[in-house]
Amino acid sequence: MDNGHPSFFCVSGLRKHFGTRVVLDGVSFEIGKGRTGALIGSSGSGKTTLLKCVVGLEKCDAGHVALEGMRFVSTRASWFQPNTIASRIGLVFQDYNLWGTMTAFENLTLPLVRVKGVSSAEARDRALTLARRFRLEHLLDRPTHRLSGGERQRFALLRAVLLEPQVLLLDEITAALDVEMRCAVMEMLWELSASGMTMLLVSHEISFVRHIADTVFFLRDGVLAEHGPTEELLSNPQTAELRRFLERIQIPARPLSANHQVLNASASPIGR
Amino acid sequence: MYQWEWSWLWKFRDELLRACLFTLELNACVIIGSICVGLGLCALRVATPAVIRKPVVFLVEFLRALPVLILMIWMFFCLPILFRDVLNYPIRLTAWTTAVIALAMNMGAYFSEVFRAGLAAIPTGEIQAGYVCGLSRWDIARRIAIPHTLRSILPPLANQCATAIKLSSLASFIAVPEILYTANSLIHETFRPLEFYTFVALAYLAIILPVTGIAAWAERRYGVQHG
Repeated sequence: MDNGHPSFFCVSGLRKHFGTRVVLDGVSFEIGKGRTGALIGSSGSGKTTLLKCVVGLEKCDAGHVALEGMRFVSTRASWFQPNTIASRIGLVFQDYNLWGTMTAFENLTLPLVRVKGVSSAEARDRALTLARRFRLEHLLDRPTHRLSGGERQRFALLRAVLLEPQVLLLDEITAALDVEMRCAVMEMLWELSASGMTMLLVSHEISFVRHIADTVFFLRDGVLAEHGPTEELLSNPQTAELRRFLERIQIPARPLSANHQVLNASASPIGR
Repeated sequence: MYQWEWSWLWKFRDELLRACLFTLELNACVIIGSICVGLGLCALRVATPAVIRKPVVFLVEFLRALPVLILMIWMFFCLPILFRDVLNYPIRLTAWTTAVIALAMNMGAYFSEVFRAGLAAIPTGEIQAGYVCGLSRWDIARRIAIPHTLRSILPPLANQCATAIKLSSLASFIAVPEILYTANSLIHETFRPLEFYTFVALAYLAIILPVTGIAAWAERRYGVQHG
């Protein structure tokens, strides 16, 4: 928000309730072109709902999303209307959601052909070029169920990137992966970020957020409790809630609690 | 010792062949009917308010609990009389129609459960991914939902078809001239039960084995896979 177009991607006044529970209570923020925002907060704070509202997977009660000043009224979005925001805002899910009855290649080319109206030869060409860039071309012909989690997630990212979205939303895309695969996916994100992609990522990996994000948004009970430049916010949280949250997601230094040790000690003689 | 004389089969080849073709025809009608009944029941069950859904659930359970032979016999003998006496409206159901309707209702109840499982097998996340990528509703149905459904229903569907074919031999009870009934009448004429019953068994195997073969192939090709 400090340079370029400050209101490139702008979310304002997003409200959403499920039954009597208010999940999003007027969330507003913006991300500048080519910048990366990170959305943090405990589970249940509304992060995923926020992303779903932005792309129209959930109808929201009030508010709108704007890209380069052009408004998308997401209150009207419905499952059965064509998705107006599609391919302008991409979303990658935590559990990949590659289409299981197709190969990785078909996963990449199908939306290009059917949504962007690209010829299938051209679509194959673009998919191959991008897959080569991320060294995934040897896996293209595999059915998706023969891919590992990390490979699936990287293809899910490619599928979103191929549609050339103006903003890419990433919903805890490394959370279901092992450490090695996590690194591969993060490396991809680095490369995308470096190439100027505007991104909003939900993540619990604070060290990663620290490196990649320009801005951090802390969501608490459906309210944007705190936001600001990454380093400033993470090293000097203003609210007690953010401080507690940051402490909670640290990996505990003591692996076993006193109770555990007592239990183990009493269990071992029986084991023998 | 029994003297097997297979020439009897050859002697009545026209009757037997006709009976086999008739059985195939009967089964084709039963399976098409079952699919229609199954789709209808499934649609009523998943896409309607409770007022309609609950009776449909009851009907499906009722049809599955009722032995198909009893249903067939009841429909053949009691239903016309009920219609005549109670509704004062005479109906005439031929044995063939009765057999097709009874079998299609029974199998349709099972089919509806298979279809329902097929719908449940559609992964919501993949549909959402299709929506987020901007695919149209039609593309999402054709490229994502239907392949998943087919993949999960083909194996049980083929198995149910094999069951339907086996059950169709019950139609001989109400004198539908399929293989078993024809064999029985020929036995009365010729007193050669062993040859004819052997033929019946082999004929059923010849019809059913390809179907179970398809089921096994479908299971291998489309069965439960990870992802």
